[in-house]
Amino acid sequence: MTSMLDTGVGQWLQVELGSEPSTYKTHFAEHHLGNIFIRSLHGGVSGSMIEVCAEAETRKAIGEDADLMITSNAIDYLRITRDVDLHARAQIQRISRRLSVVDVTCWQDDEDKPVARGVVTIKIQPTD
Amino acid sequence: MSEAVHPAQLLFTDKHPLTAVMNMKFHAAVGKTLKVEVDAPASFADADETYVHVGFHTLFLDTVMGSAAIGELEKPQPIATVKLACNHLQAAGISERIICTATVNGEANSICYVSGEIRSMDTDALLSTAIATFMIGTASKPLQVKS
Repeated sequence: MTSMLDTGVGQWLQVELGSEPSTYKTHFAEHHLGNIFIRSLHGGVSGSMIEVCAEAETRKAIGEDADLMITSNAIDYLRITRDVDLHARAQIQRISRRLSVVDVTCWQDDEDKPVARGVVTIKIQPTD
Repeated sequence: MSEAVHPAQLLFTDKHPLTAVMNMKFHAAVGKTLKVEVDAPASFADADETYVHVGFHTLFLDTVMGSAAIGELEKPQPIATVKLACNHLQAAGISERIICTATVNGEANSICYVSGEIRSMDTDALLSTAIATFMIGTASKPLQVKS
């Protein structure tokens, strides 16, 4: 477990490292529900998960103490979710001295049937 | 402020497991614009425990922009977020009172187009902006009941 995942938001999401490198897992909790009638996850939960995973993946690459600021995201919601765990795989597309751009894909039962995908841009603050 | 109940408040009540802990305060909708206040929750604290993680901004924007879309429906029906894009200028401080303003820009082909922003209520500083699209009238069946 990295320190990023031990923060308040990490605990609220109940996110932990997945079984494979660059994967993460959010344990389902009742407070993750959006539509309580069909018991689907709140879109913002998937969105937050994507941002947290992108940040955690960037910290893994450049150091846990890096001063990072998420500046933007763009998320596509691909399928209806349900009340089970949410998995994510993060892939850094480009990391420079000042920016990290990370793709994150989320799924529930089958990685080949993603429920959401997003790209997150993170500003890396200078450390002088 | 008005006593009128926004349609979304019927969904996001104190019984809703997510919004029950958010202490959201709905303003009466004016035209196609909805405003909702909230205290940035400590449960979303970032690593420094001074600010919330901007993931909360994303969740709050999705909630309020979706609520604005619900307010435009002629009859009650489910909606689903199709696309959400956020820009984050700065994170809200923990317990800072913030306000999200969401405006429905139009509807076509069962897709509702909404824009939104979050500002500090204390300083009026712009914290985040977003645009989103919502599908009106979803299948409303989770994956497990689909063949």
